Amino acid sequence: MKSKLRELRMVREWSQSDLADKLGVSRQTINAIETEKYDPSLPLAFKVARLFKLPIENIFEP
Amino acid sequence: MNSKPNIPEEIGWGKQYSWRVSLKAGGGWMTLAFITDLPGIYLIEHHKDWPVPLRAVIALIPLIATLLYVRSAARWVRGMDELYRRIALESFLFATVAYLLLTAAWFLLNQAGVWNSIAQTTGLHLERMPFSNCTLIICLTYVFFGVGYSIFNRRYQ
Repeated sequence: MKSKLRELRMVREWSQSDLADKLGVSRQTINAIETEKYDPSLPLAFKVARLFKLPIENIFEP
Repeated sequence: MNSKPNIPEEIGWGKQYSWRVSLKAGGGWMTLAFITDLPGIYLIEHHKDWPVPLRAVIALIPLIATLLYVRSAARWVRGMDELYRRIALESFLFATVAYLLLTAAWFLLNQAGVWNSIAQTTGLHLERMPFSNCTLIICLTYVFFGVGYSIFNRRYQ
């Protein structure tokens, strides 16, 4: 699944670890989502959307 | 800010290893299973005159400790984040299947008489391998878990 997670993170000048801490997941999870090796669960996708104050479909693309 | 998820590296050998986390993940119960397993087998074999209920308790203590270890480990896995949980569960599945296949292969080779012929030529009695022994079950499953973890972890890096 494609995502704009990296761009959104870069705009806020957050590291992968910063974002991982904010979402309560590991840095590896953020890296795996950004490199499209792992699709996040629906609760995690909602958390991401809530954190960036954007609709899910604006962040993740099937 | 959310609480920090459990990380498998904290219970494996390496820089991030923490014995406190290891204890939380069931390391204490695993140690109890190791400590009670071999002496238990010795006591049962050398004290056949002891009452059966006592012998049954001695025989089952390592299994109970193993069960409590699995319970603690399952709770700890529940505290992982979703990616690590997936890797851990895939690794557990790999370890369980690998252990079952190993024991199945061992029994089949025993039936085929392979261990007998090895024993006759080398004196190595592989047919006596104690696959129902808790220490062996935990050690082999742990080794297979490590192999599985390194395979499945690589997929997401």
